[in-house]
Amino acid sequence: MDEQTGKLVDDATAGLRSDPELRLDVQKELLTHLEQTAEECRAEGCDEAESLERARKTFGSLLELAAELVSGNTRRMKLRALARLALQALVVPAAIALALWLGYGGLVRLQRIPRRALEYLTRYNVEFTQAAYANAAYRFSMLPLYPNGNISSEDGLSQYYHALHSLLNAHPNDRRYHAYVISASFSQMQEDSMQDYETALQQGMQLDPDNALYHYLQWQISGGPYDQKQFALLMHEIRLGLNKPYLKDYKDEVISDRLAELPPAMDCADYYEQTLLVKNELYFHYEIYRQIARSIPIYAEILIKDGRTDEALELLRQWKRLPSQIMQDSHGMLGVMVANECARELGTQTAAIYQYLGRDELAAQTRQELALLTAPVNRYMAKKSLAVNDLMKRTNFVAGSAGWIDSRLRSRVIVDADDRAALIPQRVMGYKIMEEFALSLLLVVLALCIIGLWITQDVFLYRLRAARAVPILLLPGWRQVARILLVGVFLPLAAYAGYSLLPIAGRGVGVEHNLPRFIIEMLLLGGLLIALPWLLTVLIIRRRCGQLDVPVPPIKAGWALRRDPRYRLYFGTVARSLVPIYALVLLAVVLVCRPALHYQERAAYQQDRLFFVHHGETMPRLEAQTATRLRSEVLQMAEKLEREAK
Amino acid sequence: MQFNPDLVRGSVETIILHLLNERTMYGYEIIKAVNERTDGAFAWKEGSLYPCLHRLEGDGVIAGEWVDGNRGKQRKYYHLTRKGEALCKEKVAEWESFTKAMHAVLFQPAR
Repeated sequence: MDEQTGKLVDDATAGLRSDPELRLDVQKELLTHLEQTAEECRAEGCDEAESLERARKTFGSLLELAAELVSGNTRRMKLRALARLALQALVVPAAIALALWLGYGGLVRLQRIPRRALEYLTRYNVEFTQAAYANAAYRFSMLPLYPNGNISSEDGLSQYYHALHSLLNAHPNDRRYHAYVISASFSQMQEDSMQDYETALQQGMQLDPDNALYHYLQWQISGGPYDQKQFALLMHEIRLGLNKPYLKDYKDEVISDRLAELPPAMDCADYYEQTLLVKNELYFHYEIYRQIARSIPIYAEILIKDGRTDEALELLRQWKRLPSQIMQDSHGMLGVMVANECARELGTQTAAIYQYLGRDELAAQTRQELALLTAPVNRYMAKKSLAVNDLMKRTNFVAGSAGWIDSRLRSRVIVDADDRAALIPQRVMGYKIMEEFALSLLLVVLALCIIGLWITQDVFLYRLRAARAVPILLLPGWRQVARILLVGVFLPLAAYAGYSLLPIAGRGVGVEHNLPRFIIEMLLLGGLLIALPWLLTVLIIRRRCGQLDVPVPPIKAGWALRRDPRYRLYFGTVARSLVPIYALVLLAVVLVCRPALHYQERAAYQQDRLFFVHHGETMPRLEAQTATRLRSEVLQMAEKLEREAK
Repeated sequence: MQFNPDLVRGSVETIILHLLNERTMYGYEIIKAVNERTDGAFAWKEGSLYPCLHRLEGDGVIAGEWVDGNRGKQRKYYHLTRKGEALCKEKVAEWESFTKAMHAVLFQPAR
């Protein structure tokens, strides 16, 4: 086409300059028409100049045409301008904000789990028989009451101590909170606060006169039996304690109250935190009970040496009392284990003293009673030999069947799973958390791609300034966008979802056993989610640029020709047009993956019985069930023995 | 015979819709088809076809698509959308009624 015809088309479409894509489209259409008219004229024998002249004339008045083109395209231009505005001002910023919020925020949220898990992994012994005691003392002295606080404060007393006392002040004259705080703040007591502590114990005895707790705590702070008077005092507290109807620390009730004050747990990270808070409530006073169990036989020996054998026998006769008191108040396995351990300690020593006194019949009876009383817990322990006694087998079992979270938090779980099925939710959750982690990373990468493309289009805008051209924001049709999202996003995601259900995906073992493969899978999936939309969009852009007569580089040359001035408009257009496409890809990924992963994660932690403390509960379901069963069996046996003794 | 331009302008949409209802066409083809069928009676300014096509496209009545034609030349072919098919029927029916009414007024003897 000659310059004059080009100018005619350029002038006729001047009113469309605010929409470069539309203008190029209309120009091409008009030029094609003019070309064909001229060609027809040439076929009739006209020369080149004449045929072009005739073609131009068929178009009528330039001014009229220009005005009609503007009026004919006004609605279209408005709609397209709105679409461009929505894409650039809403979709793209929304996608970047969402990527930062969900992507970066998701990484921050999820990093809590490995951080806390690693913290506990390095700190605690995984063998729970030791952990129950060793960790209790450590946790008690080191871990603050929730919400998390620090250990020391200016007045030398810990923030934990202050937190406990503010709790007490918030519930004055409530026997549950009084017992809870008094028993929990035992290790915080210092010499100058001894008087206050004793006063608090006296208050407790008045508030809850049937509770043995305060006598045992009083016994603990009273020191050793270094003289007759002191010994009498200690004996007095022990006797009072043993004769009280119950021993209660009200731990479960108070924890339940306090958990209800926390915001409801929404996801596994929240449940995880909540579980850790509950697991931190392992009290030092369990150690006191064990000391009492060790001391009673010693006191009996002292009495015997003092010639007060009757008193000693009376004391020994009550050997089952303390374990029964502890067992009655045991809602979790720690209490059950402590009660059993106290029974073993007391029963064995009592039998030995009977033997020493020549009361062989009593000794045999005590041993028999001890065997019966400890049988339920011992049977349970024997069944758990795989999980408890053989550390290597146990570690392999857990790692192979449960996976990442469980294997790291095993030290926090007192009850072991009866079968592998109970470990499946943990394993699924491990994968879901890792997938959420990968999703967060992908969102951040997509956001970086968008920002990178934005910068690239600006670079080309700068390079095109001499040509007075601007990279075009091409608006693909909704069908093309749907195709890009379907093939570039939904199809790879569906393929991955299907693949992960197959045995070949190795989801039958924990994610840490599968980690290298899982990382490769995530890299492949992420790569596809980035590359496929790119490829599909570039193909559409190439075609469209061809339609608009924008020079398109050979497909194999790729970005190697980006510095070639001929192709600057094309590359700028690619960069600019990819920005909203990636924003839509990002939104599609978020809309599909986030709800799906959250649903699966929620389903997994709702199915979990082994690890998480659920809403309205104070310990994992399996632990609660096991402790309830064992408590019931032991107490029934204790009652039966009591009846037989009478 | 030269028609009143307003009369021609008022019928352009109906003509385009009717032709596109027959088959997909590009702008030049539409002009040719109209000229052939009317022996050039309408004397359309060829340029004025495109604003009309664009308006109809903007209204979602027709849709255009670039297609590779002979000798690698691309042409923008238009086709009716569903909305366009309905509008076409409406316009043709309207025109039929109009011409019938005009005929009745102009050529039937008064009662």
